[in-house]
Amino acid sequence: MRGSRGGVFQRMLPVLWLVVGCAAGSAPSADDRSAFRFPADTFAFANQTIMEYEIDPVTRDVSWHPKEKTPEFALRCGAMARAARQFYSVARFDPSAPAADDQTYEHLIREVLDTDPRHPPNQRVVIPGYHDLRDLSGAHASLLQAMLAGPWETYLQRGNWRMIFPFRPDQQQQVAGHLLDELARGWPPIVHVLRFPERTINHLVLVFAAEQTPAEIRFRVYDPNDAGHPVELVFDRGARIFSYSATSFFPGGPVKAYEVYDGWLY
Amino acid sequence: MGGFTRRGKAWVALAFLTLGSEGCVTGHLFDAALRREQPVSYHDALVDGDRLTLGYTALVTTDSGKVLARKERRAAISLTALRRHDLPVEAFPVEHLADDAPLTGRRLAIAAQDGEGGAPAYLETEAAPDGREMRFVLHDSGGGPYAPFYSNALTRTSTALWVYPLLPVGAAADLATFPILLVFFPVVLLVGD
Repeated sequence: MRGSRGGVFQRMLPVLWLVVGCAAGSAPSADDRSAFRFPADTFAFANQTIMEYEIDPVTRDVSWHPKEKTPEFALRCGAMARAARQFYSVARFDPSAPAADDQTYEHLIREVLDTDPRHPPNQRVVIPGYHDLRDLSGAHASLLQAMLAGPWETYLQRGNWRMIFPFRPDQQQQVAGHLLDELARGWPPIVHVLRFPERTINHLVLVFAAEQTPAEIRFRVYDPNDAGHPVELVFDRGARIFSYSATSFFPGGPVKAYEVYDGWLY
Repeated sequence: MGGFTRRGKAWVALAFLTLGSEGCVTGHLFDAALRREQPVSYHDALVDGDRLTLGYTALVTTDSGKVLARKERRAAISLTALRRHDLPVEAFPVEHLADDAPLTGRRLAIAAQDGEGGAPAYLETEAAPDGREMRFVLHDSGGGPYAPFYSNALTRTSTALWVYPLLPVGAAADLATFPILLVFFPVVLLVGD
């Protein structure tokens, strides 16, 4: 009986290998893409928060209450980070071509958003009349906001299962190393930044560059909540922890981070 | 030698899976009890043979960065290691000393950046925008040149003792909740984007 179970296990090894292989994920190759540029490859508009945040300047404690008027375009950090990478990996902007009508842009944007966010196709979607995503989204903000998925895409992000489990320092070190590898391959990783079970931050951002010093790795991040400036996600090599910059909604400080839209598990 | 019954095996398997999941509840209990210390300022620096002994004030924080206390700490680092420019912070050898360990050797002046250029031997510190002394360079005509030393190499972590009596409760909660998570996990993968 034991022998037969061992046999079953051995027969399953190739399957397990495949599963683990898939789980590890592999970044698509950079092909002919140039590096992700801020602000050119980001949206001209920002995701709005539904809360008003108040950060104590001394204690850095944060409190929040609902905004008087609920913003229409909110809770889209996941949808925006996902879409920014899809445009980066799939769209080719042709500013020399004449601008098209709204219907054509709607069709082209749909084509981009329908691609696999983990494994983009080799074929490019050509978007005429604009230099980049910043240009397009400035001119067609309402259309893009309507076409980006609702908050459900962030709530139902596949990798959300991971957030409830603890993160060890060595795991965070692996994440930092993996992010560097992805950037070296020309693939901007999407990262879930959180504190759990605290609720001070639960956010999806896109990492597009990194600067290494002996003490830290400073990742430059496109935060969908801030269309104007890149933000920093810093990995402290000594403490093996990530810290997120102070923003209008977060006082700054240690966070946990892991990559999403990466492999079938995340 | 009778081995486990079927029910016993199921419990063992469940316990292994729970441990494999790193214990959602117990893990977060440990996170809540984690105490992290990093230097904010140096007040003693002495060269003793091949060692630089440091006295410093460390900031004690929780895992999420909330400041709890300040502590006076001591540590020693090897001058041989300090001469190397290729040692990353995470691999830098540091000897954490007892808080009352004697400070012996040749005492050095400690100065902010460019503040003590004329002295034959001194510790030049550099502060971060928030005031923490994030690194120093040892200047000593007798033994240099030395590479910058980054304060986060002195990071210490510990666990608050209150967590240990809570562990049985945490483990029981993990055993109870893990099967539920296990059931929902495939659903999340199927439905999730």
